[in-house]
Amino acid sequence: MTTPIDNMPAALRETAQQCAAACVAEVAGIQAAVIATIDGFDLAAAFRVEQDAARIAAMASSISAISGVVAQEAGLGKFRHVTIGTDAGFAIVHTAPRADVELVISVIASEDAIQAQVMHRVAAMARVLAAA
Amino acid sequence: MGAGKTTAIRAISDIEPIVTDVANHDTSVAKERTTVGLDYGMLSLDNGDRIRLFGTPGQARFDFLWQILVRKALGLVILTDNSRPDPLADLAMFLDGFALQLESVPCVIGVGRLDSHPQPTLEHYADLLEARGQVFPLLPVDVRRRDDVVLLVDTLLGQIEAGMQLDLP
Amino acid sequence: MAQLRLGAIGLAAKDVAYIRALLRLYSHTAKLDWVFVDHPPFAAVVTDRAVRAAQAVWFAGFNGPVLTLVEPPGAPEADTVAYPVHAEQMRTWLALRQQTLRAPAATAPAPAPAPAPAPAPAAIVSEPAPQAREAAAPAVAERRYKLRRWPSPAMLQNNELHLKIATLLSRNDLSTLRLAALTGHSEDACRRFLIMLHQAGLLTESVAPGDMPGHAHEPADASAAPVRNGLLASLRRHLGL
Repeated sequence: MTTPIDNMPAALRETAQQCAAACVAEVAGIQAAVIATIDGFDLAAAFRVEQDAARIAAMASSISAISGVVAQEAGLGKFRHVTIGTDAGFAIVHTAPRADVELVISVIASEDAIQAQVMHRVAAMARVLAAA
Repeated sequence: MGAGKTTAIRAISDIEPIVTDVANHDTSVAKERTTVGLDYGMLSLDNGDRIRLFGTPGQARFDFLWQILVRKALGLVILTDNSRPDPLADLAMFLDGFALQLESVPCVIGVGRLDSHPQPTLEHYADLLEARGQVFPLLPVDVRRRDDVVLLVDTLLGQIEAGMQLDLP
Repeated sequence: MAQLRLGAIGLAAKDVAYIRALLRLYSHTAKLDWVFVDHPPFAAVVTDRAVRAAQAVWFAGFNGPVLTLVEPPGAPEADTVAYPVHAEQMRTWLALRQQTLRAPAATAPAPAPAPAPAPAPAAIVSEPAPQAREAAAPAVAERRYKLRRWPSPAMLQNNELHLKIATLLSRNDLSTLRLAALTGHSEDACRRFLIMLHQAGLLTESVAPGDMPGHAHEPADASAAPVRNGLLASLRRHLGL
């Protein structure tokens, strides 16, 4: 069965998978990285702790859309990223705009991770994906 | 998906609805954009109350939002698009997704595009509900027409009033 | 055992049709074993005061029970039912008469002579005064109805009352009395649609302690109902309903 992701450029899918895998492998405390289309289909995913990539992709899409409304209603321009702090860690949802398909990155990290470091890595990933 | 939730809310909302639709990459659906967060509208009543209208994404992958948005809802309107490949399966999916809430929350089902796509018929929808042991009002609607949306809401209000009678000894 | 035969003498065609439909409705319960027939022999008959007076000789020769329809107001006597015909009262009367007729000492129905039918009087269908309803209503278990399937568009006929009744019955078991109160329409009008629904096999029935006419029902949570009612009314006004 053809999925929407099958229609994505192969080069983009490859780059996305490499980014996700490197992110999880190289940054301490990151448990999962999912790169999704803006309408919530998972393009690439990597896990230190196995999770449901499709679910994360959909949630990231919703969070991104709702955050976009908040930014707009507040007159603060375009939404870029949001951090969800929790008892045992945090999650970052970050947009990666492209001309052909807008992407959303989700990274889930434990409390061992350093938030600024993860943020820096995710922003870098977004730049790579935007240019890919 | 594509049943007209955003249009329906816009038809009766006092405010310009807040929408969270984005580019659609699902090629199985002929739609440029799709709701991935929620639609939000509001009615400001003469007694000072405000009724909030929420539209949810229609795809099953967003069912976590359904659970959030249906919390403390007065009622639920399910809109289906009869031009979809399997609208009865779509309805079954929503009935499954809201199964817990449908035991107590009033619900009305609006079937769109019956004029251009007469199959399945409303009787087929009734068959599906009957097989599940459920009965909900089934109305043909064109959500571009405000009167049709108002009828859906009026019928839902009738369901809410009927539910209040359950409190009677 | 053969069903008991109920006939109508001198009643208006619409009353006959209505009673016939009621008996068809009742025939689905095991406890009432009556059938409406157009020709004798009759085990019992339904008529009204005027016909009874006009056909006194015939009725004197009829051994079976006679149910007389009377105009309201005023507390009806035994073996009478006030217009409009109360389904519950009719059912009670039929149940009692069935018991009597099938008791071992019951007499067989007399063969009825061919009556010269008196002209049917103008049927008076009006809502009896509340006191009359309250006095007439027997304290018996009441039948309640619920939809087991949403009606077809052909049955709803774009009719506002049909839609209201169907909507109410999709969530609740309700009696005709309650439906009338909730819809603001007469019991008669509600009953007509109920009969349609029943004939289409769309209803389930249950029995609950009877609603006494005029008995005020208060919601268990007395504070919630007025608040909700105010909100819903306000919402309807806002939508132009």
